[in-house]
Amino acid sequence: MSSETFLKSEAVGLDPLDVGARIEELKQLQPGWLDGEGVPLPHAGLEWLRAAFDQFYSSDLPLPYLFPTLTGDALAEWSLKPWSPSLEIDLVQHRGKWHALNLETDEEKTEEIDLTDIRGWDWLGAQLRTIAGRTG
Amino acid sequence: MTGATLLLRQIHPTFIQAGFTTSQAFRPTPKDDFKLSVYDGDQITPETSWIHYTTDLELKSAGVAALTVDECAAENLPARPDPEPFPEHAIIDFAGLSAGQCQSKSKKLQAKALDRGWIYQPSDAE
Repeated sequence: MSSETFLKSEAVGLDPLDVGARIEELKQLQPGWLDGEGVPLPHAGLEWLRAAFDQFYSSDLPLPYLFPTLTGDALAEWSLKPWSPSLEIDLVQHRGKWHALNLETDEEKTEEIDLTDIRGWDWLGAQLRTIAGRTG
Repeated sequence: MTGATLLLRQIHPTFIQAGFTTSQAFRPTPKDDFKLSVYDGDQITPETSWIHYTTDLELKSAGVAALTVDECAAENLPARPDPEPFPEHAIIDFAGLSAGQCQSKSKKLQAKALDRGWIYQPSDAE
């Protein structure tokens, strides 16, 4: 995919972090999307992720930035300074690797979570609320 | 190369969303052998580095981010010239770090680069 063909959510009046629009962009990735490296993201997995966000991700939570990984997973990142939280999402197994780093103190938290039902998503929401609260 | 030298990092367009650059852009991929490629800002301007990267190397870059040698050293990431591919090439060395450590270091570099902002973007960039 070229930068020219990469859709821009802002251009169609959506929140620039709209998850559904971003997932449509990620579906366009071709093999070798990172200058010859990079596996396309599985469309079924992306549709699962879209549905899971719709169903389980509370509207009061900050939307993530959503990126592909070289191995065909998705990486959600949030900008919640001084914290830098991220969730690497396995689009086949529907599991997530949480990593939160305090950029000032180097405090770190990691966790593997099951994203197949609401419990994992509730856990994620609780982490984000705690971090957002700490950013004050 | 001094502590104040800017290390110029080309950012792939897929690694940017709404002006935010993923931490993945600040850590080496498996083919990089733990070495993050950058340009030595003492030897080349940000704009010229972008032209070299996109034209001579025919790789994609939506713009140039930067870190100083001292900022990398503060994370125990040594930077040094590596003129083998081309004279202005340098590397930030992640050797010996686990995947988790690479992830944490890349988040620290990401934050510093985002605080600094783009030091070059082509005129048709988002």
